Amino acid sequence: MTRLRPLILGCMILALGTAATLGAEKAAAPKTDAGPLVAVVRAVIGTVETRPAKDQPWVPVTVGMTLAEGADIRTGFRARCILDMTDSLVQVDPLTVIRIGELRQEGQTVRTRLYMKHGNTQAVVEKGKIESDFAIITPSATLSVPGTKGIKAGFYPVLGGSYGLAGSGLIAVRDTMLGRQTNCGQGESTNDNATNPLQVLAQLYLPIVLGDKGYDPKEQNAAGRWHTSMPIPPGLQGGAPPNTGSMTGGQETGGGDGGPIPPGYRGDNTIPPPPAGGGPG
Amino acid sequence: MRGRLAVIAVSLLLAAGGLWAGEPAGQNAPAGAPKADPAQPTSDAQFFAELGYKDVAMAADTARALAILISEGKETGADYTACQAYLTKRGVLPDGWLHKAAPDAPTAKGRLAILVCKALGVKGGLWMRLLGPLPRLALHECAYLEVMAAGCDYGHVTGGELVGVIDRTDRLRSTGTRDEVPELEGEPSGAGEVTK
Repeated sequence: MTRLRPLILGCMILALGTAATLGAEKAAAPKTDAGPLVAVVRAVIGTVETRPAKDQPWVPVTVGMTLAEGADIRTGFRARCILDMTDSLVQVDPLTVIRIGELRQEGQTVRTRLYMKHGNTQAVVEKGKIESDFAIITPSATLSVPGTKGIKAGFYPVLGGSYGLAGSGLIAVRDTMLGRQTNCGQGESTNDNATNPLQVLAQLYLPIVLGDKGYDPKEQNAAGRWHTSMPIPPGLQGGAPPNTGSMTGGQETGGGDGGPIPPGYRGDNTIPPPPAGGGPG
Repeated sequence: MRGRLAVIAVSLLLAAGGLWAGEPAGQNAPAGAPKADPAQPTSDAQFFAELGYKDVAMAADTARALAILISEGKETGADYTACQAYLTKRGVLPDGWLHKAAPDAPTAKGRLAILVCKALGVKGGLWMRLLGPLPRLALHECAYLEVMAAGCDYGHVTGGELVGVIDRTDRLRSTGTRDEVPELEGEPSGAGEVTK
């Protein structure tokens, strides 16, 4: 029996070691399955409502509720909610309408797409064991994130959008219409046109440089507009402003191809009438 | 001649009678067609979400949105007259435009700017102090504060724009700066854990 004791002890140590190794391997192994995920509501302040799909009724959001792909969320005045989306934390700010467009796991990547109609959102995207493919899409721009904190996105019709980063990391903003893209580092922000963050800062803080005629850079065509007392600059003479219809303020000296202006011709964008005396045939 | 006039008069009367007796276009819709929901939005979240889809913000929408703003979310009544009375009581209707406007009258940017200036207590620059909150001056002031987008003061306000103006005005009223929002704190739970 005394001879067997070390053997039994050795077997036990071996078994424990094997079990521990297997357990550690099991814990470290990333989940590779694919499928839709859900967002868990962490906090709710004020009136926040959701619906699981377009044709479903709106119901109040409560803490602990799970929201799946396709769910719409709307917040009221001074209301907000925080959503836990596996690899990201999203705060939906007041007066926002947002949809969880995509929230799914694809291999080791969690793909998240938030469609924001209007309003403001903030997000923290954790760069860790799970690879993140996170983006906030507004009608005018797309903000995509590899992994960072302090993301801020806001959009309202006419007023435009603003996209910035308060924390460390990097975000990319792409103009939906033109496809132009820019990156924002910590403390930088951009707009719908994906303007370079340095230019945004320059517009905010640098004094306006006026030209020799007293126009700022945005007023290059000021004298070409209607209802102005300023004379048309020499460079703009010879053509009417576009889409003027019957209003002829341009000082045309000739037709489009250099010939005389036909009678009844009312601007560059209108089709000249056929010459008097009959057309073809 | 008299006979012709009589025939024309009779035919006009008949035509008018036919038009008068005809059913409105909405009642001829097929049975399965969706109908507009006549009910007013009940919650402020519903009101602002539906407002965001409107091409033009009406006077009733503006009155209700401003009533919610001034009362800090406590007053959410859908009654146009009650909203007018509330805003008058709080001194936000200086020129009486909302008093005269029909509920379905479109809101102009300059008019909204005046109301926003009143809500914010903005006195403006020299000309606004001398001449009062004229639409054009008020819009310039709101554009300077970045609460509204610059433009012509007689242009109509879209629903989404009104929602944005209310949001920015509330931030300016409550925090003193348009960009300050409560920071998001915390971290996501998914450190390898996936909620399905």
